[in-house]
Amino acid sequence: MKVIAITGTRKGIGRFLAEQYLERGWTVVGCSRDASDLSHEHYSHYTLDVADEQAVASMMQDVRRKHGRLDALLNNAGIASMNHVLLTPASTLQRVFATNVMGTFLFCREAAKLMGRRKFGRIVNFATVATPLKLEGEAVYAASKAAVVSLTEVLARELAPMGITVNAVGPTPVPTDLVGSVPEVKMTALIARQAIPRYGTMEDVLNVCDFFLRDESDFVTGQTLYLGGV
Amino acid sequence: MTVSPDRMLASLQNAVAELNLSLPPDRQISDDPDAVLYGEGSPLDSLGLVNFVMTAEQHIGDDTGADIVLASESAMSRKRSPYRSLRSLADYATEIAGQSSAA
Repeated sequence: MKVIAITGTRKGIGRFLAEQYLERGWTVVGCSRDASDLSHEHYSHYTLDVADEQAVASMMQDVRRKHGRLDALLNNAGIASMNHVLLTPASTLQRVFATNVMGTFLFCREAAKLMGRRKFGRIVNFATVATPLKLEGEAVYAASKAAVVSLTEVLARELAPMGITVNAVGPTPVPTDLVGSVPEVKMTALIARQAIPRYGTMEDVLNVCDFFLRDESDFVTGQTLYLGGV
Repeated sequence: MTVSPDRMLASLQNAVAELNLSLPPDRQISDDPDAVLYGEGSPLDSLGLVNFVMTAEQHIGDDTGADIVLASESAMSRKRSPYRSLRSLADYATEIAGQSSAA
């Protein structure tokens, strides 16, 4: 049975992705800061901070002991910040980078250790259209995700000899808690800049993950696929 | 978690034994605690070191219960690298295990 790790599975896109892969017969290991009410015989939840190096290492060692393999990782956990740079405290940058960059880095590193033993793995990181659109008010969030794109490109090269592909999906705004605090007028303006001007759906994100996870995608790595024609 | 350096060393030697099963005779890793593990005269290239560290962390986890990360900023330092020998790596692993249990 294939095993997939998904970060940020308590709610939103992460929860949706976990449910989809469970329905397809995968074993899913998820995590979030708080406990999850997702109950399934093939789902295990780890309550942790993705930026906690020791906790992430222990989670992955536990996955190895219980399942002996890890086929895929979806680095979905992320937090956003909407604020003018002059009103943004340094603590916001530390918090956003800890989850988005450190969390992605730690999960990539620890997952690759499991995947590398079997010379196979698929990693999908989560970028955002806020980076290429250079969205005002999202400097910290966009910069953190730019770092994720850069990590994706370099890790793709470092992990290729181990049979691991590393790609990223760049969703447009999807109606979740992450964008819930952004004023509607801002969202409308953002969506108008897409080639296809609509909100994204969770199925759109799933579709890209599916593509990167396919066995036939073993020659696709280091890519960031932005949705909506951005 | 307290794990003795000798126990760490034994885990590292188990990792060496596992890796040697898949290495050609001229690239076998010595299990001598003081032989050069990584650096001049070692059979390990950088990717080989990555494989070794991966295997070593898993053996340590299974043998001692300590889920540690053997990454080190001093990896490329000839004098201070914990990867210079199995003994120095065992000492480093012991230190890391002590730190993570104290945290």
